[in-house]
Amino acid sequence: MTQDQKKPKILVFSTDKISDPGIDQAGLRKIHYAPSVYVISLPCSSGVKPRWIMHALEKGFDGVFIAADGHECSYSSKCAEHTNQIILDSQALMTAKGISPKRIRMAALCSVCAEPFASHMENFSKILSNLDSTKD
Amino acid sequence: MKERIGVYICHCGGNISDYVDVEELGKMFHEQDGVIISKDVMFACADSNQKAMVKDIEEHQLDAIVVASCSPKLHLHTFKNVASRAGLNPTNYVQVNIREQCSWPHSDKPREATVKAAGLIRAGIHRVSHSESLDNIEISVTKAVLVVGAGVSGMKAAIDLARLGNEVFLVEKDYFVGGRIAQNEKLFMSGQKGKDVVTALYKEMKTLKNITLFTGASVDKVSGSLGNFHVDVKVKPRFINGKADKQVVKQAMEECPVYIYDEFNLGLAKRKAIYKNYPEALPDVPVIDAEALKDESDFKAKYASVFNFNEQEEVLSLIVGSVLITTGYDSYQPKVGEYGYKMLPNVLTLPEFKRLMELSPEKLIYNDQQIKKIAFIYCVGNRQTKGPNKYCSRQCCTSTIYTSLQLKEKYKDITAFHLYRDIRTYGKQEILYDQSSKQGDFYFKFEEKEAPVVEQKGKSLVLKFKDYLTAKMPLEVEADMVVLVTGMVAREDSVRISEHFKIPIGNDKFFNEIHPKLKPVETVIKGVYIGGSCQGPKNISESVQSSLSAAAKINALLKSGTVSIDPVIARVNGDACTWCGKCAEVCDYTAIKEVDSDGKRIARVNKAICTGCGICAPVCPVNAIEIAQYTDLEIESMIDGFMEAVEIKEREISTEVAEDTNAVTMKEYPQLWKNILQTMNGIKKSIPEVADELAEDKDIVTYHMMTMNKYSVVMAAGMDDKEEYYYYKIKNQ
Amino acid sequence: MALVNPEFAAEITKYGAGDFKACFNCGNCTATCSLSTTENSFPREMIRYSTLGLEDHIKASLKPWECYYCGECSAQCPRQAKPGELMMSLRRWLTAQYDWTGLSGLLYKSLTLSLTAFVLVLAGVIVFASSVGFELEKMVRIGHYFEMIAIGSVSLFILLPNIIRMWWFVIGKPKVKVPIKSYFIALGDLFVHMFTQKRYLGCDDNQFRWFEHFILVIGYLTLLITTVFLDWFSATNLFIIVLGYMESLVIFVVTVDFVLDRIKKKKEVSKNSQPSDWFFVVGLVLLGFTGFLVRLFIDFKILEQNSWIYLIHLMVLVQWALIIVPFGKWTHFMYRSFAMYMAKLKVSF
Repeated sequence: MTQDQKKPKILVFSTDKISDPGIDQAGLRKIHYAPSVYVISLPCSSGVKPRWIMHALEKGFDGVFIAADGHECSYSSKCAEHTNQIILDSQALMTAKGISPKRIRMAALCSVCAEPFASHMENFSKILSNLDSTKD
Repeated sequence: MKERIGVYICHCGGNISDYVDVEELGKMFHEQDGVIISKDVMFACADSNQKAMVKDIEEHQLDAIVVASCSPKLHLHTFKNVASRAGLNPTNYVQVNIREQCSWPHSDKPREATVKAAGLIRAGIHRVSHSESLDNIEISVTKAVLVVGAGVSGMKAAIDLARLGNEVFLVEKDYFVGGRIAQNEKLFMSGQKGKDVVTALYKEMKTLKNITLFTGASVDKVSGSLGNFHVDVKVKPRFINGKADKQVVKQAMEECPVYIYDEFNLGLAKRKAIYKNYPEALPDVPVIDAEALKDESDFKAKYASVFNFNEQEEVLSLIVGSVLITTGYDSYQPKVGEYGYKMLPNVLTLPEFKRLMELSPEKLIYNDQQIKKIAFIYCVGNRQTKGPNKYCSRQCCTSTIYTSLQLKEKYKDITAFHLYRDIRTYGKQEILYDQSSKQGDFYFKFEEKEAPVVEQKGKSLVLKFKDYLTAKMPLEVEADMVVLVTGMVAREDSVRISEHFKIPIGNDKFFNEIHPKLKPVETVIKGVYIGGSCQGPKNISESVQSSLSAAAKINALLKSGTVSIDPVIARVNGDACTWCGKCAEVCDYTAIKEVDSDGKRIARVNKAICTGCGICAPVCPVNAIEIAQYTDLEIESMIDGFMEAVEIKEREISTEVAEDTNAVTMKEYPQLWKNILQTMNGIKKSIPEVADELAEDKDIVTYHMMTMNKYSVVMAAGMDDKEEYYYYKIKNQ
Repeated sequence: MALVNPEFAAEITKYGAGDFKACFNCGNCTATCSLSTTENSFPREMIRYSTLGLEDHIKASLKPWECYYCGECSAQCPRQAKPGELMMSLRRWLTAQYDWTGLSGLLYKSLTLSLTAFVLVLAGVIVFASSVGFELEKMVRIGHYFEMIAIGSVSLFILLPNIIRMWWFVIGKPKVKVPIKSYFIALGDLFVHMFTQKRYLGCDDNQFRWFEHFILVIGYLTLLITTVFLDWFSATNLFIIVLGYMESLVIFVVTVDFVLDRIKKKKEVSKNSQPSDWFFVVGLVLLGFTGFLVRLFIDFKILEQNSWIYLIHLMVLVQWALIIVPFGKWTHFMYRSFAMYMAKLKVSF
């Protein structure tokens, strides 16, 4: 087993109109991030259900990242607040199950935010790796 | 559950297959996964493959398909159409992005990219196996349109919509039509009079029976949705007796003893308490300021036949299928003291100055002073790097320069100074700039951070600034008048309009379209369109263009009497719902209402309004609301798909790339590479030479040579003698 | 703080400038100019100063003299603002500013006045000739004295004070610090530029133009010496006689070429001719031609019978010496070389 294969598995929820094109652009420009990152795209980041997050963490994902629309969201001016509430609700569920609330993270990502996405993945990976090593 | 799935995995001509072992993936999915056909194809989007897919679907009676290729942003609709052509519901199609989100970002780790691609495809298969066949939602619509704002945009749109056979209700807040263009004496580039344009449009409207115009009217209440908006319109009284003798009314206007603030002339003149905006203003019915005439009992008694002080405010209820907002803009109002505005006597804004010009037919006189030297300061209240109005208002440069040309034409002996930040007379308007500079206008460029200072010096105003065209030399200009070229800002009452119709407002406070390029006049509210400068700064042509395109969109929408809506919207599980109201609370579109269902209070989604954003789904405490195509089953099965273990054999021909040196550390090169390298052994050769020697197609050699160059297997070695082709040689040789 | 003077543009236009206010400051003129450098760039700056009417800045500048008018800027100007012609007009304007009598300005701006001046001088010569009874010998002798007196007095009372005024505008008034020894060191530059027009060679167009101009200057100066100091018309030395023929021939040939250029208007530099340009070149043509003829008539011994030819020569000569040299285009010969001198003074040694 190489070092890379131990990289934490991250599930990313992106949005069709804004953050997913940003993630696509990282690919287009061959900006590398860990291959253990998987993306599901939704219409709006305020539509992520906490139970999906729990499902992912229970199935073996090390962390969940919500690439939110922030103020660019074309659906709701309160998108950031709604997404934030989802994070809080999920963290409550996670704490109840003994999962560290640090395993969920959110950041606004624009439609050309290729580098920011890669660095978010890098940082989140580090956080998750640290969580794992302290647990051991 | 779909059990006859077809899976197509695309090489993308190497874009995917160079890194991901597509052939291996093609062999991975079998009948136990519900997969009947699994293929790897060179180009999934190629015509030949599309035809093969249609044939597969028909022959093998596939009930769902997955294409693993590029981003859905590129080809989602291509393959949805393939499904449709083969008689399969397009909602039973899933596209898996293994290029932008797998082969490209993980080109450094081909083996792991292949593992990830396997997970992504498996997730796609899972998702499609739970997909439902959804049909578009049909809604019947009323063939009537509400147009808000009777400026040039609104009137033009109303005329075209009426001509196309729609019932049009045109609502104007002012008592007279025309909006801002009536305040312009002449319009660039045509030189037409603003008022003439208004008159012509009004006359044209009058010939159309299916336009109903309300002046002094505003939208009061809005309910309903696409196809059937219920709008209450409030009409203010004019207090004039409609049956009064025209001659007597005219006389009353002349004799009226009370003068009031003249809004139309922006305070540069006074108007009578019985007034029209300007003599030819339409509709040709004066308005009476009842409040101002409160104490004039003698006058009121003399002309009793003219007045109707008992007239009441009226509220009319309309039902329309669609709404077009053309409410226009406000001019930026400078702060007191901004460039001396309202502090120094001869500082005006451009709209004010234009009124002054129209009111001064012979000589330009202001504050008893003849005005000969005029300084224009551009970009006032616009392009603010620190303030809220970051945008450029597009039309003010041209408008100012046109005004400057008018000045010379009208008053001859005029010197105009233009203090600008950038001149943006785009397109044909550049001709005006040319004329202006040739007629001797002075142009100076300043920077926002070093804005001009305006001071009074005797009877003159002095402007001090650094001129960027003269190597930032500090200059002084003496002028009789300073005109602040104020840009456009969103109307003050646009918030009210936005609340009525739920149109999103941008950071700049203007109304937001869905997409500036692809859906430029549509809002996220279905059936509500925006046109003209309520959307952002536009000149008259651009305003009319946008309102007419909105009119065309509206007509297309209402034409058939029904509209078809994307089925990806929220739906409520009536059994589970216990109506707590949380979903309705978070919905920005008021698409969710409480209804009675067999004695049970539950939530119901108005299909015509719902945008399918999904904000309602996570807030439901009993998980009774979901978005079609984003059900728990679909999303959770995708997550399962990602996590299923896959065994990927090491590829025989692997293209692992060591990231740090960017050099290839292949165990073995592809056969063609070997052949190319063999022909080049120690000799530099051009692509045509190599192609000739190998009897290979030149394009193929080019593709591989470029790839080899990229991975530092070969390198460029100068041009050939004819300077036509590059030579290549083997690197490190 | 410099105050913008909107009236100035109209003033400079009287000196011949084209539509320079059409300039939109792109800088193509400066970019294309082969004499303009990063530290000392023109003509854009001068166009801007002219537009804004920054007279003091223009008067303090030597840049108009540092341009040798190849016309490339006018050819490249996207606005047809003719920057080259503006630089030419600025030279005329500067000449008028330097001239303490103010006559230069009046003559540049008014063709009527110029023609009147020529007619008056012509009449004066006829009056003089009639006063000596059109006697050839007297006319030639007094004509020769006139030459010497004219050179001396024009230099002393007009040209010298004007050069001092130029110095005042460029160095004195703007308080440019120049060490005394620089005035001596820079003299070398003055003479080099005066006799070679070295800077002209830096222009990117054909260098034949420089060559023509160069031999014209040499021809003119040597003819001046030949006639005034070697007294060509009375000379018996064959060398001096032949020298005079050659010099006047050179002047005639070169200036005829210049006149033809100005008629054909093919080159940018010869497209725009002001009356002052015509007076100058035509004056030179006539000066060379009549001088040549006078000497030819002497050598064929037919001058006695044809003294009118000397009278014509004298008319041209007096107009030249009293109008064109002190107040006309002739001065560019002097201001250009002094501009190079003062430019040298302005850079610290």
